[in-house]
Amino acid sequence: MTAVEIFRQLRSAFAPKTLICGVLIGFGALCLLGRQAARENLHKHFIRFTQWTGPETKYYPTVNEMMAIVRAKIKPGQILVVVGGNSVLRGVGQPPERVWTKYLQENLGDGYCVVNFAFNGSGVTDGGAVAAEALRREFPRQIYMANAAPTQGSVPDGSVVYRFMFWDAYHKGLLVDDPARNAAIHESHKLPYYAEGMNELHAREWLDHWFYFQDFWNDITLVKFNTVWGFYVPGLTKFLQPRKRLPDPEPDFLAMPMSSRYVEANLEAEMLNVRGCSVYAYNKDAEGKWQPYTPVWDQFFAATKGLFPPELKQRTLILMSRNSPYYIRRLAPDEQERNDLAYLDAVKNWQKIGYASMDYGSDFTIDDYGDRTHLTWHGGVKLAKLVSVKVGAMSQELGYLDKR
Amino acid sequence: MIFNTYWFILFAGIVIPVFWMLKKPFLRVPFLAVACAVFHYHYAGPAGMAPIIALGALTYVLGLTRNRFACIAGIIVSVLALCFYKYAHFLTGEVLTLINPAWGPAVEVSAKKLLPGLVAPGGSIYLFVPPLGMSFFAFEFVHYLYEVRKGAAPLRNPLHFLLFAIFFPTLVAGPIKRFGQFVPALQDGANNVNSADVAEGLRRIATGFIKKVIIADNLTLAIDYYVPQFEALDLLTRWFIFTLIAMRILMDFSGYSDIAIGLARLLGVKIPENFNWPYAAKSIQDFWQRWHISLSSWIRDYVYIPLGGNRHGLVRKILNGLIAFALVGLWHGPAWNFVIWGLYHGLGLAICSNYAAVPSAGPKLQGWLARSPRTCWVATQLFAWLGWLVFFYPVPQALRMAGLLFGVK
Repeated sequence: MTAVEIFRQLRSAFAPKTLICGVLIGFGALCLLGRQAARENLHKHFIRFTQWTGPETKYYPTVNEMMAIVRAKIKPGQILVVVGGNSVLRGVGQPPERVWTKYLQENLGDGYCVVNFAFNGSGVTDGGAVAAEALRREFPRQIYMANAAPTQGSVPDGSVVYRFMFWDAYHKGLLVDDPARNAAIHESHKLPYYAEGMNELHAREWLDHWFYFQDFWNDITLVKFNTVWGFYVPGLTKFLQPRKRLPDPEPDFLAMPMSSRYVEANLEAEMLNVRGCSVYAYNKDAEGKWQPYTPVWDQFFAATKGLFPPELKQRTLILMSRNSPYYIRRLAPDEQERNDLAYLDAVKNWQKIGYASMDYGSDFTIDDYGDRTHLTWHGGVKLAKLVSVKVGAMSQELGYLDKR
Repeated sequence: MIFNTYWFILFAGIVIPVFWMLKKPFLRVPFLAVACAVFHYHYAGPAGMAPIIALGALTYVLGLTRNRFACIAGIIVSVLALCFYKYAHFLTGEVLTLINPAWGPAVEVSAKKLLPGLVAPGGSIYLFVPPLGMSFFAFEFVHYLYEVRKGAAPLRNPLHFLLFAIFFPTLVAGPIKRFGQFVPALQDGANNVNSADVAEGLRRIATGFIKKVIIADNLTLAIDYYVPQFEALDLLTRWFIFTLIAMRILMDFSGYSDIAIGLARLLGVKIPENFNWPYAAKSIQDFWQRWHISLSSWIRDYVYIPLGGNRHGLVRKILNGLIAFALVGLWHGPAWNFVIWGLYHGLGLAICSNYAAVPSAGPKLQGWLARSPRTCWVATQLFAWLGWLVFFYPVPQALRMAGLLFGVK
């Protein structure tokens, strides 16, 4: 067969209708692979989402992916404990073998299954919150926890970076249809900052609920080969290696010198952050006592309206993360008093609107903290101890232990 | 890029199959016009659409008159609109300031006083934000009126004119269309779109996405990471990054054109090619016959030739070429580096097309180059690729990077 004949045969093989059929069949096959990937646990030996499996490196975990992790990890009869929240609960500064949720699992024992779905910079309604809600029927005995700062509210569909997770679950029909939450979302989207990009996000998630392309590409990039060049992979050509091969790069804060954890040059900025937790929320009265500044707390109540459907409030634990004593000690005595008050009032206010809440860190040492907010593994051990007691008490109150 | 937004995928996923299903050409054309209007409205918004509607309506009506002066007036309006929307800020902020540092800010302050309702929170003036695809609209309208002025029959069917103006595959990034080619192609598509068109369209779209999303976008990330540390890199890696910069712009621009051509082809409409293996060019003239063909041919037909082209002696020919290429540069954006990039190519082209006239040495060099096509290719590509440094980076940085490529610190 001559080269011309081979070319002619190839051309006839790619005749228009053949090509169109091929494209359609190929597309259909990829959608099926996406559906298959959505059912599989892509993260064997999952500990937490790492730098390589978060939006900061263009990896966008899907709700199916998180649900698959839980299904692979949980044993029959276990109570599900989903940890959401931000980098503090993700365990930044704690190496994977000493992350605080590992100690929480140890403290709670075999009756519980702890999964860490916290992400850097995420709020109480992001990531883990969505996964837990999507699993509410399958695993009704569940506790969800996240952390926040005093007077900090949230947005029901999540912060701008992470709200793709909420809308992913929403378009797949996995969330509770809660009118109060819908109204709160509608209200928040009146602000241009929140409204921006929503059409595009809806289009993406609606298309994805048919075609499952996000699960497909996450499977490819995690297990087969990375698809996006990133500065995090050394060398120009090594970026193609699958992300699962990249180790969790979290450093051990406790092994680092104090001077790099508590950077002198940042002291002023960090003190501003520490004061920011309480300075706007209180005024002194005529007797010199701190009194809540009502507009700020009203704003807190407005910003916590409709965050979770009523049936999920009681199983939700909001942790108030205190700052390191390294900074607290530098506050004036009356500022320290105001700071204490802010955390205690925040806990009370979360409880008032139906959530479980507790603060931690008042008796932690400087070595328990890696920096202003993040804990060392040493602090993680302490946090795990406190939280496990609270989770036990919540399980009792929610009647989970009776159903065993 | 608009073509990889999910809204666009939904839009195309609905519009194109409906276009196929309509079967009758008299239904397809109005349907496509409505779809293009929806597309334009979605991405440009009412504020971006209004000036284009006004400019388009004016161009259409003036074209119908077939009056020479009316057409010239329309051309002037289109050019002024382009200058106002795209270059007013550059003219006030850069050009006037260069002449007298006080003039630029003074004009901006006066403009803000005159247009208080149009000042954005950041202080910029909304009117100076160019509507989506403004450069393409202006160039296509100028071409239309110029050809009508020269005697071409104007478009009487308003739907044909509307589609010439806002045909969604080419609205954002071209290629720049010619109405004499586009309208017959549109009618042909409405009458005869078939499976061969669809197959070819899909192939072109796939090629375009591979070039743009897989290659160019990844290269952009790598280049953005390595360029700030260019000096610290070893010589080989510098040349590697330099090659990536050249590949990135080709893949980006030609990928976008491939997608536009492919989308048009799904509707049965054949759009002229915009890139033809430019990195295979063996001379600068050859390069410009292969790179962004619709822009370079537009500039040739509506700037270079009307200025006199090569008809008035060597000095005028070179000057006309420099003006034309400065405009090619400025078309890419209102910044000095684009102007310098254009002039760089204008100068290169002037040397390339006239060196043979230099007594004694010219013919010898020409003869030697004719026998060394590889040398011609290397020299042409080196010239074009070095030009990309000026295109992408401020001139001092571009010169520093160019020096570093040859080991000069």
